[in-house]
Amino acid sequence: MKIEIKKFGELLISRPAGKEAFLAAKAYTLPPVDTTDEIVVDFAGVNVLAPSWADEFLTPLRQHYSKIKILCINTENPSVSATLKILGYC
Amino acid sequence: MSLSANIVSEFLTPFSQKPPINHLQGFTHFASRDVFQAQLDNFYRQVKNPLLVAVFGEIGNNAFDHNLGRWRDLSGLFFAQRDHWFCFGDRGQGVHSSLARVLPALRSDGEAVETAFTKQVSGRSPENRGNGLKFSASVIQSQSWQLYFQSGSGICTIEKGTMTFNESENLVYGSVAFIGT
Repeated sequence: MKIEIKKFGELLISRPAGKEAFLAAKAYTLPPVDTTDEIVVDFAGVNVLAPSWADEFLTPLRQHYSKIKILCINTENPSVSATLKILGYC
Repeated sequence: MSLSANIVSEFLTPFSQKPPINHLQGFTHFASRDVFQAQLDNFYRQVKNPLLVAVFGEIGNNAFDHNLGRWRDLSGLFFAQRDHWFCFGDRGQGVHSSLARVLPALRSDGEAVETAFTKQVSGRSPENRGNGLKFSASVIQSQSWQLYFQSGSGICTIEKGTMTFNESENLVYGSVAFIGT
């Protein structure tokens, strides 16, 4: 399954916004917790990603799907790559 | 671009006024996180630099993350720009007070600021936070930008990729950061 992060916004910065995005994704977008499919997190179209937003979205995502692989793609934006690096994700 | 004494004085003086104050002249006021978020959209259109806007977001949102209900007098985030210097400041509890909740052995404002910039720790523990200032410092060093950050008497500066910590005789009531690009 692919999660298109740009559908949550193009400037992804604050913790409250990241937390709300994860809760919305969990309600409407994410597959069941027992899925065996790989999850692809697609950052195409994101203008700015900051660690606060990413921590509130990616950390619970990884906890929610602790048994399957989560792959990040289209991470060339420097704020995306720097954020993923400092969080140690993807 | 070097950090001139004029810019330091202009940006620091308002935050060095003993509380209570009821006005900060020369600064744009973001009363809430939502107002700040809207301004970040404008910043992005202005500078078109994802890393710079991410740093602005991390530093600016700290005002709301750590000071809600703890403002000394004026609430919210204050902003000013002079040429290529961008200043964000608040009249909140400051770094030492915030971290003292989880690290009561901290002896000084300077030690608190150094801890905030170098260790993954947050005053909002047990929430897993504490990456924002480390991220900002890492980006500022990698981009050869400059930083002056002061909270209480504790100072962190980044110049030519080198991070330095000092103590000032003049207190800042809250926190103030200026980033030079």
